[in-house]
Amino acid sequence: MFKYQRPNEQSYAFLPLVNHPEKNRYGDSIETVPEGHELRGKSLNINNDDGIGDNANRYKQHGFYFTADNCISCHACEAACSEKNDLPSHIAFRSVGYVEGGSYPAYSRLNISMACNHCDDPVCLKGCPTRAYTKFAEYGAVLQDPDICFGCGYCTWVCPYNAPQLDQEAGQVEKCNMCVDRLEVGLKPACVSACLAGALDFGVIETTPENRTQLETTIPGFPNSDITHPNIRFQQTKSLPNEMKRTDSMPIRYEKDLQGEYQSKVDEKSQAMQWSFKKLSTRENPLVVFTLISQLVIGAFILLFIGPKIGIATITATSNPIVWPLFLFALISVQTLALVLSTMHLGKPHRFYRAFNNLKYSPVSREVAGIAVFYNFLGAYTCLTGLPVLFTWLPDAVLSTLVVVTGWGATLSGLAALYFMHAIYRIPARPYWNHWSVLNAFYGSMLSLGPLLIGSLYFLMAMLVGENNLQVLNNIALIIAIGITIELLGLYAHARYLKHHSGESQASHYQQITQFGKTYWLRNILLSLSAISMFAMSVINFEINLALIAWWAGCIMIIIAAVLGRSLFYALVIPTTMPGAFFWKNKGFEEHARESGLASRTDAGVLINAH
Amino acid sequence: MLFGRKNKNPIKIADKGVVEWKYATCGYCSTGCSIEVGIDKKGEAVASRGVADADVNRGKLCIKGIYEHELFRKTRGRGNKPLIRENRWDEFQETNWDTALSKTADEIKRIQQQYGRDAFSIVSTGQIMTEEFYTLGKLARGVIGTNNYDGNTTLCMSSAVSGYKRSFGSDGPPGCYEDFEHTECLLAFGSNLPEQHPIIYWRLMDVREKHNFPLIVIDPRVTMFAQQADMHLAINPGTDLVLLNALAHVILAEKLHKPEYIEAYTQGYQEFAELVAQYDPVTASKICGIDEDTIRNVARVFAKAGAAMSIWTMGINQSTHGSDGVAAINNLHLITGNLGKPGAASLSITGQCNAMGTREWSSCSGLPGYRSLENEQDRKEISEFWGVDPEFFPKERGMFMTDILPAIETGEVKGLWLIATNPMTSMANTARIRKTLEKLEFLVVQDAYQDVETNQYSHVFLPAAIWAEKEGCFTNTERRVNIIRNVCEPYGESKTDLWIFNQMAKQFERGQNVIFPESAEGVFEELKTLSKGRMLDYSGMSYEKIEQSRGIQWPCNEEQSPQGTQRLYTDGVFQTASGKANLLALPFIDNNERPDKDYPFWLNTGRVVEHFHTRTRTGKVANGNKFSPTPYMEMNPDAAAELNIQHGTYARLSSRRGDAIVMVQLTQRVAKDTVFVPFHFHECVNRLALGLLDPHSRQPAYKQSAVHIERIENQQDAAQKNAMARSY
Amino acid sequence: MRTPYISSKKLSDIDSELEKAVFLASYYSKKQKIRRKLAAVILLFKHGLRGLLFSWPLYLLPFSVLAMPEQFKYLFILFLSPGLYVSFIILKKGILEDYSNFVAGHLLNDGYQHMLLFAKQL
Repeated sequence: MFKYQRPNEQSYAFLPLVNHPEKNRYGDSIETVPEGHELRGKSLNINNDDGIGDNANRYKQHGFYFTADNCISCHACEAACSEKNDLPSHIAFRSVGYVEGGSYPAYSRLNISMACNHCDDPVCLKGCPTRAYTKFAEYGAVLQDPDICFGCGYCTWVCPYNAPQLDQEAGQVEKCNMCVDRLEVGLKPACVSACLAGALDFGVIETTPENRTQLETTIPGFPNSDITHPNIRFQQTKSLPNEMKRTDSMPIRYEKDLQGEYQSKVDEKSQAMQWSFKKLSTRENPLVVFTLISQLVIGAFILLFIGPKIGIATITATSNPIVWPLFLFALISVQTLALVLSTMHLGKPHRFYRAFNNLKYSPVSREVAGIAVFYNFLGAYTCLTGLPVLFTWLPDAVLSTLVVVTGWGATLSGLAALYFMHAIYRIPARPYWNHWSVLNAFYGSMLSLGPLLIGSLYFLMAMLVGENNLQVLNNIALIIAIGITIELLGLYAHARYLKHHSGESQASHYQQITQFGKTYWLRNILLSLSAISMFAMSVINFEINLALIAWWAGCIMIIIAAVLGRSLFYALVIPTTMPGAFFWKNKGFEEHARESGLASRTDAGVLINAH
Repeated sequence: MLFGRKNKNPIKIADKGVVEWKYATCGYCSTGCSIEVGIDKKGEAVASRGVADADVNRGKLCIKGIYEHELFRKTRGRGNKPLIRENRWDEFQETNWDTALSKTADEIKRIQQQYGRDAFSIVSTGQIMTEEFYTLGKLARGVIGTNNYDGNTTLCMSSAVSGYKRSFGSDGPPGCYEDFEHTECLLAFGSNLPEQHPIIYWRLMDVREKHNFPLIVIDPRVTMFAQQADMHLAINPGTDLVLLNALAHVILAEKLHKPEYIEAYTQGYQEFAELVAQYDPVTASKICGIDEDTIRNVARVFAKAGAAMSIWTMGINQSTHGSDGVAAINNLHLITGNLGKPGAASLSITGQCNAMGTREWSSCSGLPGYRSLENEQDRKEISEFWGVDPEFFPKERGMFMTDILPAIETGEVKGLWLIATNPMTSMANTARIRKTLEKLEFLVVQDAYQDVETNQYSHVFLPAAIWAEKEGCFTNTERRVNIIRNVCEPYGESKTDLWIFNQMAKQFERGQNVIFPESAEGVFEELKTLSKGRMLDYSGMSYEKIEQSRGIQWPCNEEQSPQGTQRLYTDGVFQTASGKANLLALPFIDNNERPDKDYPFWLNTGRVVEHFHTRTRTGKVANGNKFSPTPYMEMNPDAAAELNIQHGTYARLSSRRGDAIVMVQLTQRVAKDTVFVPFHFHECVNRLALGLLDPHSRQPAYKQSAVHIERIENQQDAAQKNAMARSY
Repeated sequence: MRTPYISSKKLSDIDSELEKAVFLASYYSKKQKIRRKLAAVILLFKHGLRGLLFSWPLYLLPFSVLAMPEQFKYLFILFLSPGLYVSFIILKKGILEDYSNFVAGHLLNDGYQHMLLFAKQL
């Protein structure tokens, strides 16, 4: 409970007792749990304090009320929150940004103060693999436990309002805690109590404070509330210009449509078509490696296992007793490398085992589980088929059954793992990713990269042995070609979707064809060429030297395209973010501060090392 | 409802372990918020919060106040040991207090002996305690005896002081924040409350929530204050006096003035009316850029209101006719009888936390307690009280700070003692200031921060304690005397300014015969005695009483006004010889450095809420500094497009004084021919500003200079230069 | 954290000299020292087992040597190194963190083994 109540506290700081409707506008009950429910009457156990607050509205959903007309961007709410939560300067639970429009002197700036909206359908809670998030019956607060969190940052991807904050120094996420300790003693949160403009307020959701009338669910710059049903309401009555722009580096602006709502549109800030190779390298580099390698390994394994059953016999345990185990072990090593990279990408890699905690809701949990199951089956299959000397004590029938079981186990779990892997990216708050074509990209990579590796190995072995019959390669080339085609079709559909979906997707597309334009087209061209070349290889029996050139050229093209493509996938995503200010919450300035050395001053509020 | 789990996770919320809260008054701006500093069991200051039952801020704090507890031990660059060096290009050597003080005293004596008493000058500040100001005044006037003694309040409030003296015969803001609750019309001239005085803005907004009244903001820029106003007058820079005269013209022409009040309480009406007759709205609109209808409208709203209020800060003060502007605002109030009653006041919003303290007690411009050197009676009274020879006092005040510096430039003044001020960053025309400081034979800097930029030129550095490492009083904008209780020991070997002044006095023979009380409370007793019966009466106050009441507005006299006084001039009696206020005829002379074809943009300067002055403190409080860590310029996108300058890139500004590099922020908030640059950053806007001095107040016009802007091709180089220009 | 199995007060929480002295008397006793050693073993076991569960295929790599000719047998050690290195890096951090959060500076009461093995926070 909050220990620092001020003597003679002013009335603005106290939570009012008000009447409220029974249900919110989405039809859900505002009362979180009814009388007599088992969750009632429990202590919040704040800092080991077992007290129970006597707030009469303890079991009602609360939320912020923001009068956008009034905010003057004085930062008092941000400062009060950071001070109460003892935050370092590079992290803030609440941030104020703005959108502006009009022309001098008919100029309007709309400041927006945002923390966490403690949503009815919290995507952070569902997405978190460690189950670090809990929605409490008390006040409907969505609270996060930094001790359980292992810093993967997925919640920061899925939240449309940028509420969770990933502290890269501490390796964990933290976010607004609704000042539940203050709520328990009947006080409004610190930020509300600090507001100097009558802009920020707080109370039971769907109630209006004194002197206010509106209960809007959106203002210009605020994402669509259908995604998560956020518990925040707005009042915004002043006339605003038809177009509102952002001052941060996100190429998004907001245009008023015929219904008077503001829609996000791309803001074409710079036109030049460039490579931007340096910008391809992001914090998610380990994920580029991890996803590509996992897809490669799964594809390679499936070809090895299923191949003989459909007449594409490449290397087998019987015909290549030495290469077979080595190759499988090589696959395991490479997959392990990928797993290690992906684990080190966490803020707290030593807590990797918590990833399985949320299989019920989180695609991340499911993907990790899928990959783990695949990895284990792969290991077992490798043992059983590659080290037969260890299993001489087993009856043959049992051994072969086990081989079949583990083989199919790996195949099916691998395919499922890739499905879950794509599900991770189906995030409404990131329209660039939220399209079925991610399946094309992932399964396409599986079908092209895996067989590419097998084919190359087979090619090499054949060369060593002096084998000239490369018929098998025809089939492999066909598989690769199909994989690339699937990917190309997906990219095409994706580009069409991007152009129509939302401002953020259009902005991504715009960046795709300008800032990364040359890289984007290089990738497309490489993919197309390699598809053609592989199709050709699948139907024409080339002379050996020509086949050599065609194959290895194809290899290089496919690998480059894969790396470029996957890097673009991570670099181009423009999330629906809250508008920032000019320095604070402006990605462009953060990048500049790092490059120019401004960030080396610890009091600039920018962490030097982003990776 | 999706809960996620039945067994809830434990909740950890930060608890700083505060065991005691100590009372203080904020040391930044002059709003004068009461603030409590939370101390943990190790005695470290870990938290700040507003005092809920203080009338000024009622528990609210702005971003600077919320993080003020970090000043004690968490801001880098604090002065630790005294430093000394022979030449300003030598490395500083650490030394002890005895050496530093005696060296300083010796140099003072040497310079005075060689070149005259006034060849050694003292420039202080608006941010030390009232008791310390008084002690410094005693030291400067009664012991050292230099007449070149002023404070940096000249850069900020001198025009307001001058205007008040010319209109009312004395300094002293007549209103209070409570006037918001009674006023029916508020004019805000060149004041950006949300960035400059956020808590005063909150007081105003709180009232307007309950009952609205017209708020009219006059500012060349569309600030958030302008957006919240009922009317925003986007005035041409440097033309306030024209608008003010025009408003007066309309009021007189339409017979909206109050002849009885004018007759009874003012003098000089005839000349005033004749002058104002020349400023008809049509003529005025061509100069100030406000159309005639608006001028008439505003004048009518103001004059017809039952009670009308004006506030202003630097938009008026920091111009070439700042003093005239203040007097013109006072004129408006005098002709409509809007003084001395609730809701009616021409209230200058002060800048620094204790600028009022220096105005009242420091003896810079006169003698303590609003006495003047020109008055023989005052000289006699103070000399007796202090125990010095009355002939030792000069018979009129000496130079203002902005004239002392040119006097150094031309060799008239040879030595300088700077206390808690940073002219290297705050004075206009940086290049000239550098040359000026180079000329000094001896410069001693007394500051809490060793890395204050002016220290580049000093010979001795005296590390001083900061804010609540000392105890004493501040006076805020509304004449409220409030107290700062000592929260912790001074950092390292730094000492309180009071101690330093007392010790310095002992270095002089004359000083050993004068009483210098050791404690702040002891000094406060002298203030009480000297102010009894005068306008700024402190005699009914005591430290206890001040803390309990959360500040008391003077005059506070035990018999007549034991709880303090909210408003001045309620009886219509002013401090002029005749007791009547002066209506002044104020012709407008356009001596602004206007934009021309070589330098086509107006350079406007101002504040951002997260920083205070030259950032020696706020530049190191990371949670505030992050909102503007590097200098930037607001520029109109249409103007930028013509010059091919992009948002977020660096551009080069140049003026007739020098050049600077800033990051560009494109916004339609400023006019096409104006740019705005926050003044806080070293080696930036003051390299460009002219700072032409007001003839009466000697305050520099920071807000009117002309600059030229060009795009920079080598952005990386510009970024480097910008990053290297300051150490914080 | 509140369980009866470890003392809820850490050494760093105690202010009074007397209480500190009492605490330390118990802390440096033989019984507590042995318990702390055992706690370290439990943590090593727990983290090691967990790690092994997720990375055992990597440890298969050395066994690939079985398929190779005689002269390559020394590669067993080489192929073992990646697994050991990775385990070491990741597990060391976890073990050290859990030790410093739950064992160092605490008095271990009866049943502490149960807590270390099964509590959610570790």
